[in-house]
Amino acid sequence: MRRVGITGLGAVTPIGIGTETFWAALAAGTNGVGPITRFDASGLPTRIAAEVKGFTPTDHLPRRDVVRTDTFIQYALVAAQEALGDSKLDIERQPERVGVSVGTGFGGIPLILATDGTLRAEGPAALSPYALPGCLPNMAAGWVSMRTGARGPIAAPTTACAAGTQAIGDAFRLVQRGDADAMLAGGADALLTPLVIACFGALRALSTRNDDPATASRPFDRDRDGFVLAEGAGMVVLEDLEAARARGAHVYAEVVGYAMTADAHHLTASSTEGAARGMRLALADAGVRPEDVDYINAHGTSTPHNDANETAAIKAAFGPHARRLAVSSTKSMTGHLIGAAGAVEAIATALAIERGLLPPTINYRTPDPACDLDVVPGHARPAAVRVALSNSFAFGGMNATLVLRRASE
Amino acid sequence: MTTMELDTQVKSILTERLGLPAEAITSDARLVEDLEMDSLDAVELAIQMEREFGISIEEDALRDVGTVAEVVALLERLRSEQGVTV
Repeated sequence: MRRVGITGLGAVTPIGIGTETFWAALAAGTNGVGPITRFDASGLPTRIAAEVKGFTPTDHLPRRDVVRTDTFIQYALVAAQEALGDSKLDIERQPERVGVSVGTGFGGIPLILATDGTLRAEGPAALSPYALPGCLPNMAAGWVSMRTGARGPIAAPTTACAAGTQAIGDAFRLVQRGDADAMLAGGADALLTPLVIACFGALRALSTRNDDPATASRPFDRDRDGFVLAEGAGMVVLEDLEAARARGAHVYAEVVGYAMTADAHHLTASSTEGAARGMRLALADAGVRPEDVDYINAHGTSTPHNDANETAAIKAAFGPHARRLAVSSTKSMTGHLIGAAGAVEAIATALAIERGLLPPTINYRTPDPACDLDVVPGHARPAAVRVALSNSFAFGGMNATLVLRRASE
Repeated sequence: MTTMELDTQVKSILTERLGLPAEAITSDARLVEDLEMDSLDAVELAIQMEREFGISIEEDALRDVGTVAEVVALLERLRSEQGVTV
């Protein structure tokens, strides 16, 4: 089977638009959480979120595309544009050999709600023909394909918080198998609406640390009280490694392993067994030993359950080596980007490997005996990273793990 | 509303919806060939014109309209037929 390299990165995140801005913010331990400004959140139990700041869609995209798309598609297009430009891949040479895989947790919730509002207020004749294609979950992938000309395999996983990781993992398989020579892969979500905040609130999943948003996302900390909803997109270009090297492309890291497992357990709570088994299978897929792993970019949501369960799963998968590797949660800075989370975290993981710097878990103040691994607290740490994992766990008991390796090895 | 005002407003709607520079929306610009409008654009344009000009536009009224000037002429005709004066 072919080897697969990451040759392009694109990011739209609450701590920066553009991969280098995003990475600099991660390295500096920047908080992306603040009071909700997108709408009046005063009646909601959670009034904080990690919003993408300073995003004017027409700065990046033709106006014609902007008026036809909900925000998650715009984020995906901007991230895809950046990743493709970064990779310098020429899709036009063989468009049928380049595919697209873009995951999302929700699709265009804001546009669905706005359209429902128009329907109720003005009736069906007032509805735009662009409302439906503007919010379908598969249309981030559809637009990326239309705007880049990629005509190979196309996919749009909707595995909630694991969608971004699955999109990249599935794309990895397609290139590995030879179904495509390159894939634009990632995830996008933009669902900051009263409805979504209220529904996650009804699940008691969100932090209610409204008076101190900057420390609300505190994965692995004893006083964590829920995740912080975020938005954005991450996109990578995956390529047949040999072809990428032959054309002189820069390879950030190699994707070497991937696995998905199901817990068959609980609606919202992940199981230790399913997460641990996913990590073990991903390592086996990569052909690396647990001792080879230096860093895990954790799912690390900052919910009481996830962080303790993920710690237990890492211990189960890695044995004594769990205490020697580093585990950080970049969600401490970005918040939880849902269907885009796994994609921006794969970017963070690739750059941690390429640049030899572990992004920190910020807001870690008080140790929790149930989360007692090295979480790289507070500040980024220089470290040689050969092999790293990126974990994503979704509602429904869906676990996905990617294994990345330094490109030179 | 004068023909001139109608003309200005139609061009501004087209500029906004199609995201084209104002100078591309000339009176003799062809909707499909020059402005690359498709059937979904036509539906949306009709909805917006109904709102802004207080008229109702039949589903297929835009089918035979070729240019920007013809859109303006159609609007004038519909406004007069439907007794819209403002």
